[in-house]
Amino acid sequence: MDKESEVRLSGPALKVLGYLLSDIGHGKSGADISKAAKVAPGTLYPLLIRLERAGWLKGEWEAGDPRELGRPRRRYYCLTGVGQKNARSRFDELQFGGDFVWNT
Amino acid sequence: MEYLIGGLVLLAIVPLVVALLALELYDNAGRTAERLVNRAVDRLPASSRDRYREEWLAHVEDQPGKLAKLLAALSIYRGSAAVLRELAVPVAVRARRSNGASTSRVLLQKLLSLNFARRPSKIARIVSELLDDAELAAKSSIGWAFWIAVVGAISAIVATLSRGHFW
Repeated sequence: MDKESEVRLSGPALKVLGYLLSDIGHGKSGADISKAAKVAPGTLYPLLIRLERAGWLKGEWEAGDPRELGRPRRRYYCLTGVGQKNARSRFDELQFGGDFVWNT
Repeated sequence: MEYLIGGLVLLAIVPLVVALLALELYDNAGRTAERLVNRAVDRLPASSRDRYREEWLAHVEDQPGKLAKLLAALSIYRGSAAVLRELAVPVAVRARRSNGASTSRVLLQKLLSLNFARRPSKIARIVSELLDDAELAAKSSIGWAFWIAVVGAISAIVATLSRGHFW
């Protein structure tokens, strides 16, 4: 079983991937993703672990010291090259008549 | 007449008490959210706690308003069981992929094959995974024992109550 086939893409996973694909250059925190993709944090974090383990996502801590920032550091997620390729190919499979299936 | 006065007093007092309680809960929502995150983190293996505590507290901190913080923390608490399951997967997958032996056995074999003096960080990581495994197994056993006890207690109550009806 390769890494890609281990990832089960549920509705929330597609929403998260769609959001991350919309702005590849910048890392997004869990709160950003949760708000923009409308996925509850309780659903989001297990999903992020699964995608990160599969190599689709890469997580990085915010630069700086929490004491200087005055709050806990955020962890920013962005799609890896493999993640972008796999997510796009999954979206192509699901695309129907110029719109995504989950938007119809 | 006395009942009417009592009723009117209750009508005045109850909303006041409810409003005060709601205010109190709202004032403490931030602290309650933090406590919930800490409870959620305590469910995870020791080696993952610091990472998720910081990440989840940052998530809660980013929410506008106390109620939003509390709701986010509740959702995180609800999802922590799924996070625990996700964190448990890779160790099991690694074990299945190697030779079908149990996870701990594979890790112990790796540990014994290493040169202790030359690879202290790798040994520390394997020991940490072994401890996580033990912790997950203990949590899982406690969970099962709890549900078995609950089902047993309900069965005993139902059996006691229905004794007169069925035999």
